[in-house]
Amino acid sequence: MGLIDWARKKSPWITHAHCGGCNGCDIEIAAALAPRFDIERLGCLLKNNPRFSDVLIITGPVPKHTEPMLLRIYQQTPDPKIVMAIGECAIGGGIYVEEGYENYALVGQADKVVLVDVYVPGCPPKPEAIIHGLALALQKLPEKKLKAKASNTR
Amino acid sequence: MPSLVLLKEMIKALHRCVTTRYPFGPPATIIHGYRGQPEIDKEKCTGCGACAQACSTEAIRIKQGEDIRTIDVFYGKCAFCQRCEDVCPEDAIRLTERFELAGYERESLRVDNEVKMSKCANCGHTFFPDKQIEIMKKRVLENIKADIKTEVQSDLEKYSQYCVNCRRNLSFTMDTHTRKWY
Repeated sequence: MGLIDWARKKSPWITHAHCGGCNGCDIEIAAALAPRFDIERLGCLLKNNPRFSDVLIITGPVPKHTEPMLLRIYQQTPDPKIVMAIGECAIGGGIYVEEGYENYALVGQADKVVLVDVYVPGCPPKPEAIIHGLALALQKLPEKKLKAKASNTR
Repeated sequence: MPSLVLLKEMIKALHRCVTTRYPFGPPATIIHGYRGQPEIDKEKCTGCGACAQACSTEAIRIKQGEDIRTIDVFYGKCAFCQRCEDVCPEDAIRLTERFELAGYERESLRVDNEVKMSKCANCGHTFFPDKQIEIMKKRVLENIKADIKTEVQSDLEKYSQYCVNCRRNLSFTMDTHTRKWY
């Protein structure tokens, strides 16, 4: 494990992409960053710029008007990137998507737009559940790195 | 004076740590009544489908197979509203206090239960799950008057092996028509 890998594992910087929904999950992410569940003690830092970050957190059902923005944020995040879908809206559409009824405003779950690595269910998930999901996500880093290497060799 | 209150809190925070030690230290504190991962008791579940009807987000689905009915709970879509627990007549489905549900795959976020269906003795079609019929018999016999209990029991044994249509058609030949009670 090189220095960069070690640094990436010990200090994953995160970007939060809010894609519609009720803001419940966003409040829980804010709670996870706040002093009670302080994930900065684990090295996580919230970054506004996806170009600096390793982990992309997606919340909410993806509406059609935020789909291009989400794609752009996804493409701006450097490889190896980890994408977490937090909350049931990002996983399965939640209360916004019903089978048999087409919603003209929504794309639906996040994995219709981007590749999602870790799913954290909950409506909203506890801050502890988000930390658990982040721990799972960091275990996937070596595998993601190999994939990123394979895709870069043209 | 809000600043004095703030100062008081700051001094308090000096000698006690606010941050939890969650991933390394003791397990997380969960308040009583927390709604986490749904769980089906496979012994109790009859497969009646009340939970699927009450589900607010269609997280609980019923998949009707040839002679097996599957109750499929996908908690990636569940709103943890506890309506399924409220309506379940057998108290089979329950929201536990488990919250560490994260997974690498979408399809891993599932809880399933399979229930065997019973076949009609006359036409051969499947109609209700086996367990539901047994529970129905038990409930009827519990709540009936003592003087007609034996007669009702013999009738129940006869018509509980037929589907709804055959039950109606054969009610006179089997002598189970409700008219005889009036």
